[in-house]
Amino acid sequence: MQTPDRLPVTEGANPEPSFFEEVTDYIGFGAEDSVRLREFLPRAEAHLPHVAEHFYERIFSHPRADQVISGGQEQVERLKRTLVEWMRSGLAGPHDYDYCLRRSRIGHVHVRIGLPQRYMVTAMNGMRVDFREVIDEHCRNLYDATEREALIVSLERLFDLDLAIMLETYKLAADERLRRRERLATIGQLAASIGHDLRNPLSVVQSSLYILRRRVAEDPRSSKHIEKIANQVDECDAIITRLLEMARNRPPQRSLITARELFETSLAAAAVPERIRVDDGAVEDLQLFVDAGLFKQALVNLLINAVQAQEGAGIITLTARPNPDGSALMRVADGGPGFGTETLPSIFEPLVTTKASGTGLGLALVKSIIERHGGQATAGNVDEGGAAVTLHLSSVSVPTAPTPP
Amino acid sequence: MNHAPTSVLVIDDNDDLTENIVEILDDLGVYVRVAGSGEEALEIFDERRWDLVVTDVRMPGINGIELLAQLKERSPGTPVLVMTGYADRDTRAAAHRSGALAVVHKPLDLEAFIELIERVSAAETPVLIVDDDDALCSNLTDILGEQQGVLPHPAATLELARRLAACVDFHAALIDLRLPDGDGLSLARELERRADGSRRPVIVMTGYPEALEGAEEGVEVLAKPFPVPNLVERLREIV
Repeated sequence: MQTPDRLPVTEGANPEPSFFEEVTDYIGFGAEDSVRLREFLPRAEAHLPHVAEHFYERIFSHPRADQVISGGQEQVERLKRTLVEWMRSGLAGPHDYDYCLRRSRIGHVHVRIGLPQRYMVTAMNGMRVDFREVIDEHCRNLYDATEREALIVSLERLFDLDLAIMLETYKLAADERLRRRERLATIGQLAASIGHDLRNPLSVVQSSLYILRRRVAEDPRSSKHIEKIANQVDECDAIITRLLEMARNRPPQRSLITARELFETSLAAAAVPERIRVDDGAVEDLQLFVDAGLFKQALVNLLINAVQAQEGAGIITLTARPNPDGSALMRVADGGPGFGTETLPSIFEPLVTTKASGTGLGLALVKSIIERHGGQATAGNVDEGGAAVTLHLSSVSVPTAPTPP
Repeated sequence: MNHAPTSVLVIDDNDDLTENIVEILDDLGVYVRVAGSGEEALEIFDERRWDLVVTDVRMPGINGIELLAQLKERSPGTPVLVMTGYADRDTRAAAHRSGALAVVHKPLDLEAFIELIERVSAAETPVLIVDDDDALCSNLTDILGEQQGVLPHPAATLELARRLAACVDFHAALIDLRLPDGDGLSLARELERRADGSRRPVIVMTGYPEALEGAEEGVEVLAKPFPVPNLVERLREIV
């Protein structure tokens, strides 16, 4: 499977080099700070696991912590190791632009899992205190008073620098969301107005067909063409509905439903023809807390794409399974030719299509729906060549207990 | 369709569409008049009694929602169908507040439209539905409309309901207890005991039936949420 089960780590824009220059300058972080911190690393090394331990104790004393961290003890151990590595690389440097990019990547992970900024800031400040303690209590004999003061200043600057990069990452992510929303709003206004205007001529065509249908009932050839026109009118109407639905961007109204139920109602609504075999062997028992109407809409779009991608006999493979970290995924894969490598990167953008008669709204709507639920959509090709679209559901959409949060 | 021909007034600024609707309804023996604007419709409206008015929303001059409100002022009992290319929540809510029979999408489902006209003309049993919840009210209107001979009259406020009751002799009423402009129970009492001494079945719907227990003699109480088949069954008995 080339289609990713795990999300790519980098998402969203990176801080500019000018940002990094400006912020190091403002904080006053310099080469001598880097040297001091690098020398401090071997002395602090033994205490880092304890700082990490303390960090997660603080996190878990918060009643809502398990909403962000839901993967159990195994995940916590992994996170502690990552945190030790984060502290180590922070002290070791070099504190150049590459360092800024690496830090920002971690920031994007925080944005993606929905960690509120206030927790991030509080947690970092807690670590500042812990590091002071490491210096004051455990490294007392290694520094004289002036050296100790200088080391503390360097450490404070490092924390300020990391905090600035994290906050910049949050800001960039928010900018990106805003831009996307503005773009969708523009498309939306256009869509509402075009949709409305198009429905008037469609009404005329449709009512004329109604009249004609009775007049030519005995002429099979005319009837055939009248039905063709009628079907195309219905198709136009469906496109307008999709466009307006996407423009409306309504927030999800969540309720409990199983992945299997969602797939089953969507299969019925998509009217998958008999030539296509549906393999639902990989649909596990998975309880979800999502907007059933919106999800059905997303899945119907994926199923219709999967049907249209295959001429003659074909197959649709459905997957639904929980991830160890409390999130889950749902996937629709087909046996068609798959996505082209050149269209793949932009496949979820509105108005991008690979189909001769497509409007490029189906997958954009899918993306919009899953993002409204705090999840993400990814696309790729399966080993056999067919296209696969995966919906990554955030842990909010996957209740662990029988009652929703 | 027996006795006098059914009369329908259609308002839309798209001449091609209204021409088609006239052609279709003409074939069915329906008397149709067309107005190209709300202003023109207001002139024609008083000419006679209409079994159904159908209006577009977006038109030059006054729009369909404003027209609906004015028509309901003049004749609350005339059913008005609102059709629109895109029924957003605001349009839907406004149409409901002003007492639209229903809001339907363009392009019109003509089979359903013709069925509605037949129903409206044959309906001899007007039933009043008063609920400010747009979705519930339109569902009840749909469900009741499917019953043979029943013509539902939806209203979102006590004020509109009272105006309707003044000109339509309702065979039954279904009233929400809590309404934006007052208590549904007072209306229920007025409707239940007629001035001429006759009685009409009235059902009051409430999410908190305990508060009403034993309070009323003639008024029937229905606890929300209710199973639809039970309600339909009960109404069938009444009607």
